[in-house]
Amino acid sequence: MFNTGTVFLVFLAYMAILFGIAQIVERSPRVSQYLASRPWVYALSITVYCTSWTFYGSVGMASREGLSYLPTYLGPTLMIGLWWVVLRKIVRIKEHRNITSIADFISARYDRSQGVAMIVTLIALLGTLPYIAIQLKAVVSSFSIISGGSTSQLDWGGLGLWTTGLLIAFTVLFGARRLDPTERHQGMMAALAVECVVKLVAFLAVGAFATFGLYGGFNGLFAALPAADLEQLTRVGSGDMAAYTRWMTVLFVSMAGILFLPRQFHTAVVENSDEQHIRTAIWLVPGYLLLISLFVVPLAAAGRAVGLPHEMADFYVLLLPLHADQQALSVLVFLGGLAAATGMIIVSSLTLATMSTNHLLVPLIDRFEGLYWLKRYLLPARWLSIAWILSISYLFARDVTEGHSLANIGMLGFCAALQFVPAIFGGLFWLKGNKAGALLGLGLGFLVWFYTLMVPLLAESGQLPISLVTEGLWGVWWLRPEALFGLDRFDSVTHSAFWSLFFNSAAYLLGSVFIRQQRSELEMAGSYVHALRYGTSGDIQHPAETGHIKKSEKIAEAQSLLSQYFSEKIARSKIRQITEGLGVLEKESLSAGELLRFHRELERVLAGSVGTAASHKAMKKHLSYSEVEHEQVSHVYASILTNLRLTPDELLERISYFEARDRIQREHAHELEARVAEREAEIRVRKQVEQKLEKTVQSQTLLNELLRITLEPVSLQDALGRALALVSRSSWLPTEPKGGIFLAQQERRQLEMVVQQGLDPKVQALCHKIDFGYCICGKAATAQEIIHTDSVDHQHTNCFEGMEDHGHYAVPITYEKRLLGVMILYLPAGHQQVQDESDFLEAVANVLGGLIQRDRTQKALLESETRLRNATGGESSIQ
Amino acid sequence: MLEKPEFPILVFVAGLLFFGWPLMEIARSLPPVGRLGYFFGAWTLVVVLYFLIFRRVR
Repeated sequence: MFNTGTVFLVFLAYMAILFGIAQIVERSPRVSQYLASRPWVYALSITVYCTSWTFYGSVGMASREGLSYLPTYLGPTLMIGLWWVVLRKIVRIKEHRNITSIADFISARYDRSQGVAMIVTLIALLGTLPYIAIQLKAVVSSFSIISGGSTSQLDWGGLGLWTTGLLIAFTVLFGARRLDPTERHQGMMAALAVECVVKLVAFLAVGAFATFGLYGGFNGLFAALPAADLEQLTRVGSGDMAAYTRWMTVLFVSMAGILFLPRQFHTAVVENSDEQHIRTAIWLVPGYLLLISLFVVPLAAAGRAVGLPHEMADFYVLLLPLHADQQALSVLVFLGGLAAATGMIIVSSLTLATMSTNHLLVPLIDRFEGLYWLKRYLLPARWLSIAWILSISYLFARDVTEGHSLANIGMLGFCAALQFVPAIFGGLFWLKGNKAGALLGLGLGFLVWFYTLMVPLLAESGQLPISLVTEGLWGVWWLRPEALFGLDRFDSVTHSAFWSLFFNSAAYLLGSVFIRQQRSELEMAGSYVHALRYGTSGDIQHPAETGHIKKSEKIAEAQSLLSQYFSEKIARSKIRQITEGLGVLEKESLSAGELLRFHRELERVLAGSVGTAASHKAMKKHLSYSEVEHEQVSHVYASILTNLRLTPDELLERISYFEARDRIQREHAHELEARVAEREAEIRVRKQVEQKLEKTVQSQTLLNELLRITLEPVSLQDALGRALALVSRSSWLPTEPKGGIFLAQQERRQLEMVVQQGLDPKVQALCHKIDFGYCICGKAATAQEIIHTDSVDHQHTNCFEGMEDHGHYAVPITYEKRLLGVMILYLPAGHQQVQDESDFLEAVANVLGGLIQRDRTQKALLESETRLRNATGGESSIQ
Repeated sequence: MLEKPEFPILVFVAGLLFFGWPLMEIARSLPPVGRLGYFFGAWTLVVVLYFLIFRRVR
């Protein structure tokens, strides 16, 4: 036995070595490049599939149920044979779309639906949390065993908390120190490969020790066992139909698990740097599984043979060397178990944290403007997610896993991953599989899985009432979680896998068949289904293009978009990387094709940090194409189309894609047109206001000038003449430079023209004197209102043969409602009356009225003075 | 023959038959060590076939 401090130091030293390896790889591009090109690193990292469930749990399972542990490894072995078709296709799609997680992969296929991404993330979260919990439980139990403690009373308050805290720190250090657009972590992969070697070596070492060291070989070992025990250890369960049903279920469920468990998807798909590496993985991973399973039965047999208690079978692997007092081997086995658990915990929590931030947090931020500031804190949010995931797993391990074997809880996660099968396989091989089908299938599958597997687990641990399991929901017997619709012949895993997959597949198929696929989904459906027909690089040969689109504007647009998620500096650096990669760094302008590629790369980079769904939405919201750009882009598409050799189906898909793109661009163009019209209306209003202001200023100036004339010591006739000239030549009045002013002779009820300007002699003769009520001027005098005419009409009584057509403003000049005269102005024929002009002429008439009245008053005063002087003999004068 | 793209699918189907019910009933009739030999032998065969099919870069 070892003391707790020593064990803790071993744990810390081991993690520090792993961290050191990861650091060396990440800091040295040469090492990183070397390892990235080694297929065995990739293949070994996929064996993170073998967790503490394999390392400790499979021996426990073999001890209880014989060979029932095998399908967990045989299923993946068979499925891996199809990877050259399935995984290669997924990897190629990942390369094209910058996929960062399984949620990203599924949602991208279904119109980048955030709803689909959210459901997948929830399934992954709820399915993986118990799985992480059993890893924590295994680590804490192994700590307890190696330091001589009990496994029935685990130290969750001390050891459990410390272990969880350290694992949070290591996970953040290993994989979440920065936001990586590719979500590839070469250092972490190298550390993971080392962990996989450690656990295999440890397991083979303890297996060899138990078989050959303790019993001199297989024969000796099996001979040491009673025949009944050997029979039981090499039988499938109890050998009845139920055992074989479970065997088949686990075989199929594990086929899904090897690729669709979130951590498996991450290592096999996201971390893949070369699709040729899949070839090595196809034989190396099953080989690894074979080797790590080889000594399971011998270890279970040895445990029994040396008399270890049955209830401790999950930890025979560690107990055997401890029992034989093999200290070095015990430490190696402890490290092997630690490697198995920590590898899974680190990759799983990292993957789940990425999914949670990208598909739960980012859509939430996008929905509420008040949370926009959080976009700059996605990395700390990811750290918090890791802490949250491991803390919940810790609580789950402490409160729920008691009394359950490692294998049973592990199966819960496998059944959750099974829910992805219809949506992924439908998406990869069926063009008509659509978003509605995926949403319905995943949603229903998730509900049934939760109800049939999670609810019983929570009820048994006291978190939910047990009556829910024994009597069913609302007491309805056919709603019992472990016997849904009365199906009680199967074990819980088979029961749950059957019903959840039944509802999931049926809803996916019916939804896809009966709910119409949106046209925007076709492009993605085509690119998924036909992924293997495209090249690995994903580049299409573009025709020679000339650039006319200002690069600076597009860079500014992209900068503004990326700045919402990254600091200014990082955003600038990412844009520089993209432009450098596209070879347009030094260019002033971009061609349409270059703009398309720039936007595509930008979306890929953003997708690496926030997921494809959120990235696509952000791109649509923030980036634009002008009408000219749209036209150029259309030309590029047309050229690409002519260069492509497509089948009619593919051509149809492509056309739908172009149509969708075209529609978006048209909508954008309409929006722009509406904005331009709005601006034009504003400009018109502003111009009208400006014109009005200018008129006001001009009329005010003119009136001031008139007032100045009235104050000058000139005769009335001179003053009226200058006033008429001023008014008729005003720049803003539409008057012609001719007109006249009449003074009223009240006694004779006549108007007499006193000044004129530019009038035809005939007119002067005709209009010298005009009776009140006669012609336009006489009518204006009678009515004492402005009269407007736009032509020589019936009102124009004074006219002669050959008179040119014209209009008039006849303005009565009054003083205190007393008619003093009339001013007649000429207008171009057809000019209509304008209120502003009438108001201004009225003001002019008032000034002229004041002028005439003052003249008359002065004359009356002079006359009075003369009369007074005559009466007093010339001695008096008025002062 | 191993280079034909259909071959991995054949291995998959054959493996499914060997490791699935009812063909695995054969194992039930065998003695304990024979059962282990049946499963691990078939498993090794599958791995070897995978290796032969995929070892070379085409």
